[in-house]
Order: sequence, then structure tokens, then C-alpha cells
Amino acid sequence: MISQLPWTGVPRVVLAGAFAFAVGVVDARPAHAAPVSEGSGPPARTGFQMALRSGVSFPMGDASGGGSDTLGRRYAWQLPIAIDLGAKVTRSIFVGTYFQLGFGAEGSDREVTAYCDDDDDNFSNDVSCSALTARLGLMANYQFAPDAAVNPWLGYGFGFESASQSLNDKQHGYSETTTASGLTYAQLAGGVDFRGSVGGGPYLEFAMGRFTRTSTEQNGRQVYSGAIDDRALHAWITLGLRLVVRP
Amino acid sequence: MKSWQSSGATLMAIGALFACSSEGGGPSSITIGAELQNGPNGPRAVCVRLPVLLGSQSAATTSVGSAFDMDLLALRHNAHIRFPGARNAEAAGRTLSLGQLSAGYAETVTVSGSDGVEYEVLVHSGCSDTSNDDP
Repeated sequence: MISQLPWTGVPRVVLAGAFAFAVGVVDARPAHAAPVSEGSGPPARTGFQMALRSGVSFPMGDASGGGSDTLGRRYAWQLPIAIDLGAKVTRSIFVGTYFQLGFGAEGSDREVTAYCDDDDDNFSNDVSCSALTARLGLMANYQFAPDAAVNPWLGYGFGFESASQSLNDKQHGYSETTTASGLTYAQLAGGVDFRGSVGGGPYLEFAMGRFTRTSTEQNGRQVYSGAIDDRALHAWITLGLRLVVRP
Repeated sequence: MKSWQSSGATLMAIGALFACSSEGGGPSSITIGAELQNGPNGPRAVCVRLPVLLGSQSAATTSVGSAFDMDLLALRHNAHIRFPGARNAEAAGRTLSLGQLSAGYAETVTVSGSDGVEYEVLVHSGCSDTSNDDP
């Protein structure tokens, strides 16, 4: 049983982790420690920094606590495109916002895939299906070697998220979209930037959240909107590359 | 020569793939509705279509004056109907399965409203989901 703040539904352990991270990164390196590879890359910057990220995301966990409603049955793997906007407030610490869209197909649910798979011979995609996710929030990361050519980093973020799955049956004139939205409690990420005039490198991200509300539209008309009673934890694991402006 | 043979084989394989494919079918349109058959509050009807996607829900409600409400909630594999405000046990909530609805379902439920009037409500599959009085 994870205790929660009553007004947010956010587990206390997540907030404690966020606080520990925020405090820890301010002075993570002992004063006497030598900087990693100091001087081997462009000088460390402060001020505006931006990163573009993309890769491939895989669903984990449950969309809701109802039976076998796993995230993977609703949504297949996705192609995310993300932008981080913010500033280096010190040589090592970046704080800012993130916004991410993820594009993909329907998940592994057999009934839905049976509808969505175009298995007739009329050369037309009669029933099209898609999934779209969005995440928006605040983030911070700590860069271990801000003035080195190779700069490892760790990050944490939290915010809002939503995920939609859509089905459009052109032959029968029927469309359906279900959107689930909720909170991203912890977007944990780490990677290595190779710094030059721009920077970039591979990263791995684990974004854990929980849907709290859901809505359904049939033929463009909202037929349901309400809270999810039986909530569950899910996560997206992303492996990708990022490009950093003013690394 | 070999490239011709391999191209021909590829084309034949693609042709066989299309020849073996079946006609795709869209989602079935199963609906459940409730229609007020009598009473002083005029004709009332409510209808929902069972959704297709995992996690989808479809709900509709309508009030029969101040006597009682007719609430429908449809999920992928079943539908629930309730009559909040009803006074009799016969009007207790029902859960109908996808199988029951797709086979064709019809039941007339007597509902004792809070105004003391007995109403007849037809619960049935195959309604038109554009016929809701309170969308």
C-alpha cells in the first residue's frame, strides 16, 4: 500500500524522491572532487538550453486495474518526439519543461487488432486505428561533466499525460476514440551527451504514471467522461537519441 | 534468369497472400435501449452503443419527470441498466452480456416511480443510438 497525499493522489515516496533528487543535485559532487575531464570539451554554459528527443517507447504496466487492461493491450510501441526547453541554472543543473507526443498503433488486444488489421482485398484501409500519447511537465537534470566532451546526465520530471486510441471504420461510418489522462509521477532519464557546437547522444527514460480520468467519443460525440475508479500504475520505457542546443 | 525467377516467385507469393485474405469486417453495432411505454411524463427513450476499444465506455441517462431515471452504461462485453428512484424490486439494476444483446433482447420492466405511478419500460437491443432524449 503506497501512501498518498490526499489532494493529489501522488504517492509520498515519489514526492520524497523528487525532493531528494532536487536537493541532491545541487551539491552532488564533493567540493574537493576534480571535475570529470575538465577542459576537454566546450566550456560549460549557463542560460538557455533546449533538447530535442526521439526514439522508441514501449508500454508497461496496467492502464487500469480492471482485469487484464494492460497498457500494451491498448497501445503498441510508439515513436515519441519531445522537446525540452529551459535553462542551465548552474553549470551542472538544467531545469525546464518537457513536451512529448508519441505516435503509434493499436495495442495487442485481439478484438481490436482483428478490426484494425486490413485483411481484405480491396486495397483500401477500411478500418484505421491509431494511438497518440502526450506528456507535459517540469523537469530537471544533473550533468556530471558540463565542460567535458563526454557528459553523462541524469534527470527527473513529473507532469500530466494523456493517451488516446482511435478506430475509424470508413465503410460503416463509425469512429470511436477513448482518451485516458492522468499524472506522470516520475520521468526518470539518463544518458550521455557528446558535446560540440551542439550536443547529443543516447538516453534511456522510464516514465511512470497513472490514469485518473477517461472519456469516450463515438462518431465525434462524447458518450462518456468520468474518473477511473480502479487505477493502476503504468510506464513507458524509451530508448532514444537527443540533440542538445547550447550543450 | 535467376532474378526473373525470384521476382516471379515474389509476385506469386503476394498474389497468393491477397487470394487467401478474407473480407474485413468492421465493429459490430450492438446497442441497448430503454423506452418508456406509458405514463404521464410522455415518451422517453435512451440508447447506447456498446463500444469497441479496450477501456471505452458509453453512457446515457434520461429522467422520467421526477419519478425515476433510466441509466445505461455500456462496456465492450456487457451493459448495465438501472432505474434510480424506482421503488420496486423488479426494477433493480440489470447487467446484460454482449451475447444476450447480440442474440436479440427484449424485456418489459414495470417500474414503480417515486410519484406512485407504475410505468412500463421496454429494455431491448437494436435501438437507434441517435434516439436519445437526453444526449
